Amino acid sequence: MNSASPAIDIRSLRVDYGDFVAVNDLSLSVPAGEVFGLVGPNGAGKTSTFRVLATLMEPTYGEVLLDGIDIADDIENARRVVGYMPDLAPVPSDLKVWEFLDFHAAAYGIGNRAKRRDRVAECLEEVALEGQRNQWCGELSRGQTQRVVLAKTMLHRPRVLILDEPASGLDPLARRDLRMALCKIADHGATVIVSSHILGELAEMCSSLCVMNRGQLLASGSVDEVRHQLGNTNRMLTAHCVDDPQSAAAWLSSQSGVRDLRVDANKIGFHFDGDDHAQASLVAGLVAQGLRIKSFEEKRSSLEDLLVEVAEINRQS
Amino acid sequence: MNATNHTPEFTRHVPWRIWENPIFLRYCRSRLRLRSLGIALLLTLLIAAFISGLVHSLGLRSNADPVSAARSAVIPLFVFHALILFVLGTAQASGGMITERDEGVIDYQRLIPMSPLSKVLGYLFGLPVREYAMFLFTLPFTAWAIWSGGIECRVWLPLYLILFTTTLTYHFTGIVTGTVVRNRRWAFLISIGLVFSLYTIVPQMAKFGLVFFKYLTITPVFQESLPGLLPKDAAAALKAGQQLFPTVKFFDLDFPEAVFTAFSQGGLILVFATMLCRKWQRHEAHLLNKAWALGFFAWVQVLLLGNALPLIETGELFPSRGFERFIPLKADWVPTHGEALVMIAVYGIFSLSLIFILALIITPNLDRQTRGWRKARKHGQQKIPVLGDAAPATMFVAIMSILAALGWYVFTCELVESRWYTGHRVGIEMLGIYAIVMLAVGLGFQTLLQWKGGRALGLAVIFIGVVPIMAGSIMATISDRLLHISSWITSMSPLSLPLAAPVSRLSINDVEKLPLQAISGAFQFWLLAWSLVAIWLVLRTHAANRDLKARVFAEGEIDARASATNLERTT
Repeated sequence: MNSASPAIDIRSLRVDYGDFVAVNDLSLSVPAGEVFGLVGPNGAGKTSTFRVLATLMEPTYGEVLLDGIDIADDIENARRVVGYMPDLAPVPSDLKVWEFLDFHAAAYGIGNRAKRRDRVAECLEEVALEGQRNQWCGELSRGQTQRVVLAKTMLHRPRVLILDEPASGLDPLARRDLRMALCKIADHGATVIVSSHILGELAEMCSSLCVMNRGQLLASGSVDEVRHQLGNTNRMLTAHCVDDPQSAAAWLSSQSGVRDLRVDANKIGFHFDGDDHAQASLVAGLVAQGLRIKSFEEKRSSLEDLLVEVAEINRQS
Repeated sequence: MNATNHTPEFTRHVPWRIWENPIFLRYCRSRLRLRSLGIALLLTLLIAAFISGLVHSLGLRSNADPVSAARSAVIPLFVFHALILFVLGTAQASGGMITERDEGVIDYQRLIPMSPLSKVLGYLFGLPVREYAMFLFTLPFTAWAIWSGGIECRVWLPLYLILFTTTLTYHFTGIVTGTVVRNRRWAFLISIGLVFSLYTIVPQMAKFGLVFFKYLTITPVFQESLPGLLPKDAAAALKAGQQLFPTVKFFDLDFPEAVFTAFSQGGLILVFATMLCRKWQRHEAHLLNKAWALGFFAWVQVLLLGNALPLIETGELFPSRGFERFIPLKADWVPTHGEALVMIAVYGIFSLSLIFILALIITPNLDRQTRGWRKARKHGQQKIPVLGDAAPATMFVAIMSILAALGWYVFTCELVESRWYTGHRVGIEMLGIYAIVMLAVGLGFQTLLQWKGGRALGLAVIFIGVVPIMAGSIMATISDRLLHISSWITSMSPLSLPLAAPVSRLSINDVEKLPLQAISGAFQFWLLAWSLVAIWLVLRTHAANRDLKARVFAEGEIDARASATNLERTT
């Protein structure tokens, strides 16, 4: 792969189901080594995008390059660099955990039996399932099944990992482990694209993300950039004064971008429409006025709030 | 995590090294577990031992010599082999595919970087691996019977070779059904039904002129080998009465029966393998592409003619000769006119059925056509590539119809103008009539499918194709006075046209004058009517496709405008 080219490059992707457009002209680039989140309400087109990326579905049109390989031209090599974990990941009921993993290791052509055994052991350790090695796949709990499939996905050290809702069914500890594992994978140069409904977690683990709705890309970049692109720069600020909150409130109300100001004892709450620089100037101005400010608090609408807004708009329309 | 920042070198899987195929090994692991395999093998051993012991001791008790007694166990054991491989193996092949899909793990197998052929072979030999093991466990008994019975290698070797190719044919049938049919129960029933019909119903068509079909089963080779497998007395009697044909005639060529059977089954296996490889390559792909479907159709026509034509002069093609094993024929035997008419009609009906099946495979549904146009729009093309799955299949069905008419005409000429029916001639206009029949019905079927979809086509087949035949048949049995009207009602069905065409237009029919007039009149009227309907359907489908293109291209302009507006807004 050319080091300058992105690990995932989607150009004008479109997926239709009859008259329903699941993904509409999606273009997206994800640099190597990123943990990239794909978020959006149900029906946004996330799973369709993932299935195209995983080479499981032929798009109506559009180009997809994984690690520089065009999946339409060289599907077999594209499959060598990609690891895909579907939502509600299934496992075969007639195999034991190690047999399932060994089969996939062999299918990916990972060395001889001894090498495969070592690699299977490594992956089981990664997902903390060493104890379940000899258990039947069909007897695993939901969370254990997720982890086994995650281990299977990591077996061949894919350059691009596509994880559709990997955290569903995992307990908090396993989620933390998953987060750490994904960050580690990215540190080693692989690219992870992940979707999740637990948006707080997604924001924590992803270096960047994109928001999809009705098959279209609404925003992409860092969490802050996404928030900005979605038009939500509004922030709720609270200043705690030691004394004389009225003077501080009077000065604040004269500043541009400040609205809905409320004074509650020594606490002044207000909405501020401005970026980080404007906010810094506002705080500096407040201090320059000689007003005694004990602390300053910022609260911004969460990613989850933004998505709820998007979903709400969908529902209304 | 020990992920390194380089992708490791992978071993590539060579399709023919089946013993290294991960899918095969995966099924060896799951289906050859000692507990379940042990029970299956124990039962197999018991049954094989019981068959061998019983038949051998019965033979000895009926004063047969030890060689004949041992020999008599071969056929029952062979039937047991067929049961294990054909029935149990096929059920497992189809059921295994369905289970993979039901559990949802088939997506993992789609993703593994093995060539489609490797995957197909892995499943082909992996899914029924337990049945192969059961078969292997019966072989010592067979080997003993063959050795002690003094059966020559040239007898048992071709038989077991064809047992293997037949097994592959049936297992492929099961895997294709398991891959294509979505409903678990239906898939199982259809695969067993297909195997049953491949073995029992389809070969019956050989009795009506489509000789090729008997070579899709093991029967001809089995019959050829039978004298060598039976105890000596029975073999001598069978040989005398059976008048076996040791070679297969294919146009002017002679092939050993086993070779021709292997060749015929090999063709079918190749088609099944192509279908499965296409499905593994792209799950949404049609089972066959248009060029393959056309090639397959032409190949079947050549096989049908190649097997049938050489048997006309000797009389072996005629159904009444097929009964000679049961009823001794008179020295002055000649085939009846009715036999020829039935064979000609069967040829036409079969060719039409094959057109229907291939049209169902290669005709794109509306969704696929829409996607095809959107893709074309994106790439700035004004047409969908002709061989692409999204392209209309009308032209290919038209070519198949013409090929069918040509094959049908050649068959008719050879049969009617043979020494058995002196004085009868087939005019060149018959080729035109056959072409109109095939084009009208074939194109009507295909265009309706492409334009209105499978549900509308299904209803049309039931109410326009089947119901008139049923109603007409019932009326014909009520009273002779209703023959006239029943002919008109029956001929209303486009499916009856391949039967009505030779009956009404060939000079060899024995039908009485009055009903013949009715059949001819009804045939001409309905042929004209259905031709006009077919032309209208072709035009409508073409227009619908044009409208779809216009809609998709217009939608593209709207999308482009919306994108430009969005870009402006963002800027």
